Amino acid sequence: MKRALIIGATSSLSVTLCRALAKNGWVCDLLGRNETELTILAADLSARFNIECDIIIADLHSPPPALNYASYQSIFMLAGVITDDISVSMQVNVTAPCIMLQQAAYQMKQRGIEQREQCHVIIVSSVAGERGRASNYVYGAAKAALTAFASGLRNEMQPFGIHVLTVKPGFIDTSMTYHITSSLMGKRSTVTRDILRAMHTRKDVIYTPSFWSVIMFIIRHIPERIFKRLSL
Amino acid sequence: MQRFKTHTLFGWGRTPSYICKSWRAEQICHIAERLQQTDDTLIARGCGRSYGDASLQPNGVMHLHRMDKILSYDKKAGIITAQSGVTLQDIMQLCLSDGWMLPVLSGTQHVSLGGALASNIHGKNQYHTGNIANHISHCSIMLADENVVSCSPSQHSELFYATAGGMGMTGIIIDVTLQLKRISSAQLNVDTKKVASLEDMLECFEVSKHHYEYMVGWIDHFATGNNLGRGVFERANHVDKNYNNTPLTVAKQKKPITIPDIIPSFVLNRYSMALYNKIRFNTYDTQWRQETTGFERFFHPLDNLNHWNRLYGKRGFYQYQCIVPENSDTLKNILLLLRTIQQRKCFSYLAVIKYHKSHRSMFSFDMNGYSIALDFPNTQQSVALQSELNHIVADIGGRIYLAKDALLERTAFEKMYADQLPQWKETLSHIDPQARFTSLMSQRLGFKDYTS
Repeated sequence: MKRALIIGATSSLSVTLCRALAKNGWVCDLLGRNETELTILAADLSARFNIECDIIIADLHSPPPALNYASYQSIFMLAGVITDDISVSMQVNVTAPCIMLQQAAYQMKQRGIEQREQCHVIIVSSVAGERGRASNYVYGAAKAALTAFASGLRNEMQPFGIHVLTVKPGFIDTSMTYHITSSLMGKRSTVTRDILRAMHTRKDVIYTPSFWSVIMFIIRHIPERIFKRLSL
Repeated sequence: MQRFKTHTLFGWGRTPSYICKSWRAEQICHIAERLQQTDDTLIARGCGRSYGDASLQPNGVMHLHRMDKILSYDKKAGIITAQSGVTLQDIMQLCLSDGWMLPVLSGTQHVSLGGALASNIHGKNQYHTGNIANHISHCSIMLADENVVSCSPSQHSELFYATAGGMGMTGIIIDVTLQLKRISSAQLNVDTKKVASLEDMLECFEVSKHHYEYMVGWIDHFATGNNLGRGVFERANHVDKNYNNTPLTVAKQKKPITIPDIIPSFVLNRYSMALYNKIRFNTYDTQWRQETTGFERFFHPLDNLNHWNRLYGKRGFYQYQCIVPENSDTLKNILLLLRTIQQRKCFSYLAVIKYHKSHRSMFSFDMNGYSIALDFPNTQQSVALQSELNHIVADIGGRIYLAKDALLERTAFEKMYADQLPQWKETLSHIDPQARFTSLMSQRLGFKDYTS
């Protein structure tokens, strides 16, 4: 039985992701801060797929717990928060995730080569990290840091055969974005499917839904002189 | 803080539509946050499958379809506990191969469990197993004070009975525990036969009710004169294979076709409907014909078409379901309803007749008799007609199914539910004295006018 650790397991995306993983034979341990909801999700996975998932209560607003990652073949980093408080944003979106990811990756490095090649580290960043926009650059700056960290981690893990995947979702229909009406809004199921596919094919960076790669290509190439005048 | 959006919402009949403020709960705490955030009224909404205005409220709609976790499933005893946003389809997919099914299935599986309880839904076996609340052992409800109360027929029973069929008036249903039904097979032996008149139809119900678990009739109500009330009668039992702990074979579900939102309102007109009804009537034999069909084809034929409500175009349609009490005048009364519809030149694409038996309930669409379900396109004539029908139904002691209603007037409603309404309203006045949970339906029918 393959085991995955889902960090930020009470997020909207985690529900569809855990169900898809469970369907593919994974056991998902759930880490988050809302014990009630973690218990509910674990019960759902147990009822639907007959798997026993552990829950780990941790709040990333404070220094993250040191965990033993030995039993995990995959780490999914879904934790994140949209807030205008810079220190909270950095703590929850960057500092805590990076500390945990580094610990996990170092422990994975100690394993034998065959085991290492089964390992995946999946980091969910955001398209918001590609370019700062007036409306959400506090979040964007944090995600930019996470993206850079993910890229560095991938570089470091490459010789060890450990797969590090950076996921850059666009707007996804979650509780964070419920109030936004946009024709670009993606479904959780699309993101889930794309992540599983990218794990399988050992991609490095994916945009999801995939049309965001085109949008972000354009946005990245707008000269700053023009970009500063736009309200995107 | 919980975010909301303002958008146009409507029921499954696509009429009426209102601009509503919507919240969406993914976790239990989201509901509590909304109740703290404002004092505005609120109504729960699951899959939006009630036809009229039962899940509409401009001040606040709480969408619960993401509260979709199954909390426990006991394969041996067939007991399932699930959050209110879980659909009947979710449950059936999980339990069917283990030899269990929901004891009550509505015409569509895309109904949330919370909505099913709030409307106290029934199926083709209503006379046999009752409504869904008869199989629910307990449920938890978040009341206006944000407390979650677990209730059952024995514990906080007033709250339980006021919630079953209570159209969301007691609070937000959080989770539901129900007993599944053991089945021998996921397939059914279905007998069909065409019947020449309504009298024959009722006769079929009468002779079949003791030996068959499911019965339903379909009336071709374009037929006039002596043929009035002709149609097709169906009765069914599960294929008898003794269940012996091996998983049942479940036919793979066909992928449904999605109806695009571009059908003009005139497509379903009286000529196309008459033609459809005639062809359908003539495909059946006058003798019993038996065939074995899969489960979904029998229970949910319309689920093969996603968004079939779009067939009526942007203008939408009304679904009208009333029950005619069982007495010496039943036949006469049903004929009276059918004749009135024909005289007003309003026709229904599908007219379905089912047999009902009363089971214990505080406030539900639940009495001995025959229910007739009709679809009417949204036109001036059909609105006038439904008002006329409502008065007839009230006069003959019948009732309207609230989950499908959008037009009933308060006086007619009070007459129909006269024996249950006072007690239910009295209970509601204790459970929700501030009237925090209201819908456009409850305002129209005065569920929360405690003083009057």
